[in-house]
Amino acid sequence: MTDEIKSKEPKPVNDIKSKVDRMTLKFPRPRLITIIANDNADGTFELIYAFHYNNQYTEVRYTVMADDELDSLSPYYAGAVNMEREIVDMMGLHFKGIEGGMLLTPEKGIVTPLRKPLKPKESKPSLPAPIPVQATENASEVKP
Amino acid sequence: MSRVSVIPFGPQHSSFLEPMNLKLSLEEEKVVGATINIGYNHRGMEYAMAQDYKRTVFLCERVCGICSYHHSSAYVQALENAFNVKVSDRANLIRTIMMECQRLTSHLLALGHTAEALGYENLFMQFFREREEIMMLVNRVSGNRVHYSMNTIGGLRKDVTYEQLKDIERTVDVMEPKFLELQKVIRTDSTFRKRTMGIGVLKRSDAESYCVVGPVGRGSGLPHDVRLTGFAGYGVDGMKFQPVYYEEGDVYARNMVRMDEVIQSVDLIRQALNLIRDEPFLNPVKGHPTAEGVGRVEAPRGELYYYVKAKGEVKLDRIKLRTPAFVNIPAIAAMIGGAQLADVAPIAVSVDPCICCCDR
Amino acid sequence: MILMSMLKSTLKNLFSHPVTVLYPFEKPDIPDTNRGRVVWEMQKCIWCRLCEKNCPTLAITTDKEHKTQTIARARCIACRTCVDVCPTNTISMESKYSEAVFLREVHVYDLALKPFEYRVIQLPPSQKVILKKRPGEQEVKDEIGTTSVSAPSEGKGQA
Repeated sequence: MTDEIKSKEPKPVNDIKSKVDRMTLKFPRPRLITIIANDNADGTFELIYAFHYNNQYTEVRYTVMADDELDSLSPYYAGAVNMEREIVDMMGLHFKGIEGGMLLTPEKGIVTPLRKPLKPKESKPSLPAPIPVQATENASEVKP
Repeated sequence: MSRVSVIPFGPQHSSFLEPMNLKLSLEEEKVVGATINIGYNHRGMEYAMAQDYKRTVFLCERVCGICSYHHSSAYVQALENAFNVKVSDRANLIRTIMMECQRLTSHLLALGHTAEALGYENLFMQFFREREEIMMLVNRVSGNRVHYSMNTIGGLRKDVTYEQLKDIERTVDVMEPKFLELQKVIRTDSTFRKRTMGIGVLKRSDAESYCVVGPVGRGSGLPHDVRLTGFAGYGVDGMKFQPVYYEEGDVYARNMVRMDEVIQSVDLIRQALNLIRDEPFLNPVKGHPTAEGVGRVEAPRGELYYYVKAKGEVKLDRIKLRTPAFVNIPAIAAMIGGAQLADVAPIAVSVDPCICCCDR
Repeated sequence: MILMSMLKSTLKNLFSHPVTVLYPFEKPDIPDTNRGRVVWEMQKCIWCRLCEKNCPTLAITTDKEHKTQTIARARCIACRTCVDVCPTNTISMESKYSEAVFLREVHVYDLALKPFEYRVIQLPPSQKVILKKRPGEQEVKDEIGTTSVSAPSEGKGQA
């Protein structure tokens, strides 16, 4: 279903810029669809870049740790700024030169809601407990 | 020398339907800079959708009210990709017909909203009158005007009868001359042309950098359209489709793309009605999914993308949706430089902002 | 370029009936396939609880000892899942919408009443209409405070 292109250089954890440079040599520049961050529950994260390239759908994947300083794609694509800000808000990763505060401002009091094993102190309340509905003394009128 | 003043084109404004904030830096009626703030309508949909993948079939329709069937189709396509199940041609073609009906209602609303932002109330009311006929048609076919609830994993929930397909064909035949009349008005009316030509130009290099999709991209010369990849009924043998695009990149070009797509949708509905045969409409699935899946659909505003990661139980591991408004709305900052204050509302409305899609 | 291109349709609209439905003097045209309110005919119910299990918003509560079915109208999204799943055609769907109400109320369909009749129970303002627990979920205190399990009730057909 997807093509996985693994990266071999060790220096930046996600060297997506050189990947995009190599892709631009052969065919017209790829169009960035989105950037996805997954939380594997053991402390590592998976970063997926989805592109539309040569009339096909391709993906580039990286595995990163929680406190890595990640390289931002914003000098190449201006649309990547909002995608990275959303990942900073939701997952708590760090991108160079990108600040959060787009969807979740400090007034709302919710911190990285999509992370799995670490539950922050002010987490989102889950659905409350069950109560079968019971009749009160106002139970009257029978309607057709 | 004149001073620069900053005014909020605030969350509450009579020309927007939903809360969005533009901070404009003005120098005596001319805009020299803009910042866009979103996030007023954030509901946490990605967290809520991951709790139960069967309940989400109904919840994902309610992300947006005007492209609701496209959200439902994209989510169901992502799950069918994860289950690895094949959908029959009849279900695919009926999904295509309902998607085109929703595209008609959405584009007519966008054009009417643009006319209202210009102050042309008569044209605004005409667009909404034509749109009302389509809303009553889908109420007869699916049961509701906005949320159709016709999809399930593997096909459709209930079959569409022969009389309902005849009803669709009759309505489309009655409405087509009225759409052509409205297209003639937009092409030749001098008020509309003078207020929208040359305003809010998005250059092609900016359009590629902001990764814009949909009529905003096709108005600037990028012929991207997901319908060329052949999802749902567009891949069936016998459907012919070519995208419509213009080169200028101003507000007039974007509205012409939408009006031409209205006429093109009528043609696509007729093509799909001719190809429907008698077949089973549902391919039921058993068990829970364990793989990843991707669904892509061309919504009225651009490309809609769903990513689903499942781990073998009712709760999903991760669901991610990228709506077209999320990439189109930041492009307002590239169009608005040098515009007069009276033109800010038509420019902001011409990208068709759907804030509930953008903030989820 | 044409100057007043809408003049013809303006003159036509001036001398014809308005397009809007002049409610409440005219009634709107609601088709038969519209999805509206859900009603039970309790004499046919076999207590299999399929409607309760398949409802996506958990709006239905079944009580087998007291022979009642309770529906929270504010939670129902009129999706027709319960109608499709019921094996004995107990549940049917009208094409009229549910009416608007003033207080939070739930409707109770009882075997002791006539077919399609229901009783209206109004909840006190402090009690929320609560969802049922899904398997594996735990009770969590939210910032408003937990809701109590026992509400004041005496006799009178419980839900």
